[in-house]
Amino acid sequence: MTVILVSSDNQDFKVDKEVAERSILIKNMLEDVGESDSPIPLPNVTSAVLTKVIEYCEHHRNDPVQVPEETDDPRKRSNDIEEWDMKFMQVDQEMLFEIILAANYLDIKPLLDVGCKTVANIIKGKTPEEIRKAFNIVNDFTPEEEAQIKKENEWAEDR
Amino acid sequence: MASFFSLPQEIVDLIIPHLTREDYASCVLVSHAWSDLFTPSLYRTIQIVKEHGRACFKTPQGCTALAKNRHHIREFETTFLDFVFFLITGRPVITNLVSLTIHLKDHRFSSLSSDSRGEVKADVPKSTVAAVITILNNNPGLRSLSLDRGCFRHTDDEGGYVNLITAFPTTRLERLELLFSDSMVTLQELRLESTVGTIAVVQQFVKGYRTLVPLYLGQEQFLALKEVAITMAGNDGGGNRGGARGDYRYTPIYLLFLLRCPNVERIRIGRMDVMTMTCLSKLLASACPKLDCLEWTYSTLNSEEPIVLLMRATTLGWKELRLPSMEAFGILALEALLETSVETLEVLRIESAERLGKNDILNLLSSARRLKRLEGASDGQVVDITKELSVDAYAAYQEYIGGQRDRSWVLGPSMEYFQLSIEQVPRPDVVSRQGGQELIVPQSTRDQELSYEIQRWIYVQLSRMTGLKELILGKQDFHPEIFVRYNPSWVSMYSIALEERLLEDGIHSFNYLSMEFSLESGLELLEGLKELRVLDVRRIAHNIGVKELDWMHKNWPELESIRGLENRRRWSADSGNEKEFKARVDEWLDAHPRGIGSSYYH
Repeated sequence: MTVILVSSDNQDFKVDKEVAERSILIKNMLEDVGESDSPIPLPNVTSAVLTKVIEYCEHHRNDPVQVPEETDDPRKRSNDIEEWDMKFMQVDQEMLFEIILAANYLDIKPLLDVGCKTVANIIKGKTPEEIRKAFNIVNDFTPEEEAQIKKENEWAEDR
Repeated sequence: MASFFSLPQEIVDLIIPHLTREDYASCVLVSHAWSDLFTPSLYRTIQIVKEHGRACFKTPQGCTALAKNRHHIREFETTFLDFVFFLITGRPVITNLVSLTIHLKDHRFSSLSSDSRGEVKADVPKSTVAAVITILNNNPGLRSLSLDRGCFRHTDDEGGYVNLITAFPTTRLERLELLFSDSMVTLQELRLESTVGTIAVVQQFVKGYRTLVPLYLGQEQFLALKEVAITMAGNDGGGNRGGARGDYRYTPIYLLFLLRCPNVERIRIGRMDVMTMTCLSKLLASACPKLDCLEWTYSTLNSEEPIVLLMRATTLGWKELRLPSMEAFGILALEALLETSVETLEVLRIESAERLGKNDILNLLSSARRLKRLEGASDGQVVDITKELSVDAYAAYQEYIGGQRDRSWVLGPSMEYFQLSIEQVPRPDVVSRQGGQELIVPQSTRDQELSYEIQRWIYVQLSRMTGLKELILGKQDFHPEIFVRYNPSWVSMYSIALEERLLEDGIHSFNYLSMEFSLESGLELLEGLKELRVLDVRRIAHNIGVKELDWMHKNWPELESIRGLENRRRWSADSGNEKEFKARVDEWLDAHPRGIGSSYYH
């Protein structure tokens, strides 16, 4: 059985129900309307982003429904992105944030997790200047402010 | 256009936990907006345990920043008394801690007035205990609490400990750790006479704790408390036995709060004298009906009776039991364990059990069908007196053949980790020790046919463990201390010289009469161990050559490595071919750099 998803720019995407149901939002919608072949509008997702999201859901169509596992230290989990997901996330930053927002809207928790980990990995181990460069952020501190914060946070530099 | 700032706070909150403190420190320097975003995370966890941290927070900027961001603090750990006082001075009062660790060791209260006089305010409590009690009262949401004896020094306050325990927050506390110091503590020292009782009461307690219950029942219970640790600071858990250190007393009075902990599931303990252990067991048995995990890190007990009591201290049956190296664990303790836990036991670790008789452990192997892990000493933990759990295969097989007792193992697919020394397997192919000297063994070990029969019997027992991931035939990496004791120059590696030296004391460090893991000996019987990742044969005279490696490559696809494969086989009757044998194995390994199993080559 297939369903039709409609992106914000009015493009139709025909996908297997099983694939579409990776999105808890869509799954709940389908359950609510019952048997129906009317298209599902997704006004918050552009066709470019929806293409990527569907690609992800296709690849993970047979994954077991995830029980969110709580480990004591979330930091330990952060490096364990699967190889395929890692490649999948190699997109420009705008697309990365769009995917994260779409995953959040469509309620696809594993995709949201991978997205957040990817962002975290961009930040990790970088200097403030490198972070600014990575996210295109303007430094709005005065040199004095910067020196002050550095001094305040000396304790965090080394164990 | 989407950017970092398009992300709503709920998503940023998902990113933050993946970062480290160093990352937060960089993030707050990026821009004003990022500073607002990441400052709460930076100050969420404060750990002041080293001089560097202390010095940073002592600078005017560090001190001000810490005070300014105090409302962000959720987890706090310190070893410095002045930072204990930070928690109760200044405004707003810190009330949102979820985790608190204060380890002051033998820090004396009196030293405070001299080294931080400048900060002492009028409302500063009179003692360390009083300060800690104030913190506890201010933070009713604490989930994790770890205090050492420095927090309840008797010299500060009469009955400090009892008052402190009374102040522990009851609502949310899930994990409690109390560390006692190495020094002897007497009841007089605790000044408990007026509140709880005297030695006479403790002795009465040993007979029946009930006389003391009314004192504790009036107090609120720790309903959320799942995990309790009562250990000694310092030498606990080091793995090597201190020897002549003697017993240290927590005194049973310390443990009475367990009467208020009906939901404890897991307990960690260290060194204890006989009386305290006896009291502990009785307390656990009557007051903690949900207890099923015990981790015991260090023992100096030399009688078995208190261990038997501890084995019986569970109502549900033990699920996880980790026991230290101890001479006193024998068949009585094992029987008590099986009596309470044969249907529940999933993890058993016994570092060393010198008093267990030949094949006593078969009682366990033939009955504990839920077992997942059987663990022994870890690498580097083995000392000369370590006696790992072992099976006398010859005797067990004779029993089986003779039909006296069916002691087939019940361990099946649930097993993941299996560490056991398999001994007394006849091995006619083993003729000398690694040092080259003659190996003196019983005549029965020269029967080739019997050798294969016995090995096959063992393989059949192992073959049912189809979920097995690690198979360890005994550990060989000694504690460095051993080398230092015998000859410091041997430290770098396991040495044949050490083996020869230990043998003079009747200690076998290498097991010549064990499994071959060769195809001739029946290796094919283990074909079903598809999950096997690690095989450890460092301690045994194995015969794994190229054709066995080929077989393992095909049948054990997940096998990463074989520890001890490089063994030089100097014990072998065909040691003339040793070099060639080794060269071919090395060649095979060179051709399979990613692992032994086929799954590494898809």
